Amino acid sequence: MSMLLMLFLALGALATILFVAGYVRGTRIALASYADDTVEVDDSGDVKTYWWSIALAVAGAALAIGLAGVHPLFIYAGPLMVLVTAAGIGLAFFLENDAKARP
Amino acid sequence: MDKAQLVVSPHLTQGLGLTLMIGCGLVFLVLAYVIKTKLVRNTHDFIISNRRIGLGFGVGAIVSVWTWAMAVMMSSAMTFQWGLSGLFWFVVPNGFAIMAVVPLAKVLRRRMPAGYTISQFIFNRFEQSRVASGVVTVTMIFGILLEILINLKGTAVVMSTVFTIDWRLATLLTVAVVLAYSYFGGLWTSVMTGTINTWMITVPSAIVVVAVLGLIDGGATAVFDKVADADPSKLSVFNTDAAAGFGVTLAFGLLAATVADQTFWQKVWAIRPNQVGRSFLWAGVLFYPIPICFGVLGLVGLAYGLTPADVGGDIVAVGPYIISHIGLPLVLIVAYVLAILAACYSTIDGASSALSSIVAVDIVKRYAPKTSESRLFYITKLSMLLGGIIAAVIVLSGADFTSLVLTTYALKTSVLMPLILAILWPRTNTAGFVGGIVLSILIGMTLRAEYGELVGTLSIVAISAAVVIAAGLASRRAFDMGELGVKQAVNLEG
Repeated sequence: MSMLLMLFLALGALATILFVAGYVRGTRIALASYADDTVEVDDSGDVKTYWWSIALAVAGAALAIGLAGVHPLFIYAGPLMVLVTAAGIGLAFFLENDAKARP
Repeated sequence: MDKAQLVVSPHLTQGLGLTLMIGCGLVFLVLAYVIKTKLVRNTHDFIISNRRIGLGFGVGAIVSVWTWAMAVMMSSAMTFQWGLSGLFWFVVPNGFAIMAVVPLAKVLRRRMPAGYTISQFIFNRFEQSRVASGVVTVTMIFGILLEILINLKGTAVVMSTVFTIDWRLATLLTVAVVLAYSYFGGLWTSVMTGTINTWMITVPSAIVVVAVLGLIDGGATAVFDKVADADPSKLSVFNTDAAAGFGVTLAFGLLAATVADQTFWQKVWAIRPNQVGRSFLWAGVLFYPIPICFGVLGLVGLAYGLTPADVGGDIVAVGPYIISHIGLPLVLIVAYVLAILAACYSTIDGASSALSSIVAVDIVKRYAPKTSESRLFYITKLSMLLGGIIAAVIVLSGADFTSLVLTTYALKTSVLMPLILAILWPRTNTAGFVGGIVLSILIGMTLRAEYGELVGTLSIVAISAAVVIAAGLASRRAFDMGELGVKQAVNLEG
């Protein structure tokens, strides 16, 4: 097993831990909201400016693909970033307002 | 690197393939039963999750329903066919299509906080017009059916390539498995299993792709050099052939696939209002790496000098072919197959869940408003089964994968601009909305048949928008968007 594969296994394990921890938290919050029939309408906490974020994301994806044709090292960018996807979803669970989940 | 080195890995038995398909479904079935017990009380919970989906499940669910066979296998296939320009034109509009929902979702969620479906919005927006809402309802149902059958086809390609399972058996089994667990918990099941599916797609795919590169002498450098030697243009993102061949058409089609798809609108109304925009934004950003990662397999196929004939004639199979022939350990082949199954399962259950919301709100409650809650609940659940069965029958009749995808997108493109204008422009009226859709399909599809995908798609978009704008300018009436919130066509709150 190559060092690179071991590195990715380790990073994959870290991403998985964050994902699972987040998933458990998200499930707890969902269960706590059972039977709460209040219709929430307050969207003040949502994103207000997003066009710059969208532009950066599009440019970043284009750059990642373009760089794979510049140097072979960047071919590994896809596998590396996809671990960020798993970790990012795990992180998202921790950024939720869990006020109603607390006992 | 010689393609003669690629031989099918041992131990890839049909029994293993069937076990993976069924085993995955059984795990989700248990989860679905728990969800049904703990989170679903009535039709409202079943189709809209009591509007309590948070950021984590929101992002996970959106990524999972958007990551279908298209993203997983077509990213490899497009890279294999066009090089990095193919990957560029496939990936960049894909993630943008999710994020393009953000402004529309924020507007509509605020103006119609207790909505369920996009057809319901059209019904309220155009003075209870059954024609306008009917056109959208039919378009949504058609799109959902195609979503299901395209993913069924994707599963069939993988299972027949890797495990030599008869594709018809794989199709039937997928329908049975997904519908069995989706039947119980509705949207909550779709969201919670979909989020798990997103993990199954991401972490294993990273390991598998790195392992594939590790099996090649020289790794990524050898792949890079071999592709550069064979055809340096395949390492450039500036090859305009890919844009003209499929890129521009696909870009519009992908926009239509999110903006004009109840699978996503259902989530707009199910996610907590303070997380709607953020969920779609994060989902778009976090989706990008998935097809980029799988696209590497297309480069590996190019480096080995594979031809479409080598992979069975359908370039969609290039990823599964490499995985099953390059000499990976069995556990990693299984991981790849599970990633594809996860992508297919999550999209199908998401589409089925969207179909259930359309049947409940836009059909049963609109045309038979006195239907009791218990009866509505069962009709809603049975509609999912019916949708899956119809899609399976269509798939079993046999159809070309890529042509099917592009045709779906071309049809949904006709709804794109009228829908956007209906949300954002108060002067959009019923005549313009319906006329735009009908005329753009009639004229645009004729032009498409005559001049090809690109001209056809651009015509559909331009005609549909022009008709809506012309009709809006011709009329002096402007709709008061504030009325949307009080015009509730249905009450499913249980």
